[in-house]
Amino acid sequence: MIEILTIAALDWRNGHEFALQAMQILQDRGQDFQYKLVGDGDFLEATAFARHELGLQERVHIIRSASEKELDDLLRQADVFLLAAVSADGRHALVHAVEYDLPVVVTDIPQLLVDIPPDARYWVVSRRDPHAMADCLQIVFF
Amino acid sequence: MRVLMIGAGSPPPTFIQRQVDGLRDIGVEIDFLPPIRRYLGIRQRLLQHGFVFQLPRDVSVRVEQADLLHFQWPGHWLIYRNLARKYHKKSVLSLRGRQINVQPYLPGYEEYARDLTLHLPECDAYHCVSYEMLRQAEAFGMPPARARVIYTAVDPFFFVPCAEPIPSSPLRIVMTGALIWRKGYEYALLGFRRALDQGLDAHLTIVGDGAERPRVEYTLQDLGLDKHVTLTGMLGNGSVRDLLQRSHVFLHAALSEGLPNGLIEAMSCGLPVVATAAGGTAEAVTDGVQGFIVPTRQPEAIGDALLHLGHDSDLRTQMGQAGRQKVLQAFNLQDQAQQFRSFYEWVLLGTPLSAEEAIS
Repeated sequence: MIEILTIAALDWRNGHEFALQAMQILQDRGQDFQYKLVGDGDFLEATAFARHELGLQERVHIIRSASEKELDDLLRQADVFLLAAVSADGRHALVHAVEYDLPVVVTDIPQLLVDIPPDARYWVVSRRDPHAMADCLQIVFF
Repeated sequence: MRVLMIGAGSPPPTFIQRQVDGLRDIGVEIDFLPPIRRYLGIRQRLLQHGFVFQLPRDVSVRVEQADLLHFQWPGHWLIYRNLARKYHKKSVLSLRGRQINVQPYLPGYEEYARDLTLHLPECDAYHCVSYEMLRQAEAFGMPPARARVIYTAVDPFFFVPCAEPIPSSPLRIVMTGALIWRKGYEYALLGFRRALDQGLDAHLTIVGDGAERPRVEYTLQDLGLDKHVTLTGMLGNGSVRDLLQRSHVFLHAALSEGLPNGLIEAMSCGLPVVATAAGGTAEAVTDGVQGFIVPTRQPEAIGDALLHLGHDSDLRTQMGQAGRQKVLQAFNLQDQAQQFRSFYEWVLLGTPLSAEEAIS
């Protein structure tokens, strides 16, 4: 089973609805995964509703707060870090994921890519494109 | 007959105000319970848990004088339901949208979902804005035999089609509604972008305001839509009607709905619609008749439907006329007032409605 991780504020700028649609596509394709979404914020209602509407309650875990130790464990256990951002202005842990040498799937926001060193393992997908995210995750990690 | 509205807001939202005006026109006395939270303070929790005590005189008199208590939202029912018992009043509860189809599924609302399941069945009768809402409320124990669907309604002689023809190009698309996440504006803009990319000459006007305005503004810039989209902010009813009359197509991309008022207003003005299959929307729009119903969160489907309508003015006219007919038949404000009066009478007389009557 693949463990997908996002640590990012629940903010529309971080594109969580598109990430969840990607999870639905993977689920429909029969892939075995768990998605842990760590964060809190104004977009909790929209995010939680999307999880319910898309039938992802068993696969997606919204973790609203985590200690440093818990974050450390999550980053060590994950197989891939996903950031589906539509804007560079949201708060997220992309840099930490890279520091943990975690493979990263990130959307094509130029300001986000600046933080990723050339030798990191990362893949860039179109923003607001759940199919591109699902395809990338499936090809690389399943 | 005297009905006390609880939780109607001050001032009430447009759809409640229309309902009130319609009822008053046919002789039903409507009163509003003043916001009593300020009187209750910590006693609100006690009230919610079954303790009932003397209310301030100006509040209790209004409850005593009413024949029927009409709770406008489940949240108000959960807090104030014991008033009906204390004052021996019949009660009805409106089920409209978010508090049934969104809130119970959110983290942090587990207690609300539990209370809903416990106490929703205790009300005497239920007004559902759509059959889909009725179905969703059944999941929380609402007995369908005590429910009646009364649709959202508009005045079809105010929201009338434009008498003059409007230029056919560019295609004028309009959206109305609060700028909130449930309305799916980012998906609408993606769909609109797709239609432009495939050659549609079009302009989109978005009427409304709300917490998601920065998101809408950012998205339309990010998608290069600045010159193709106008945000008007809030407009009054007259201005909304004028804009609808000058438009070709109504777009509604909601993710969750009861039954959208804006959609009914647009159909009343003779506009064909592109709308997502959220909540009761598909009860107002039959796919391919009054417009196109598309899946939620599918910009490709929105774009394709806009293209289809954009390239076929005869189809727009035909669908617009079908929409106007549908409003006259099923979403007429005068009929809605009569339906509410008969609903209230039914509750007061205590005649149970058969399950078949309720849900047929």
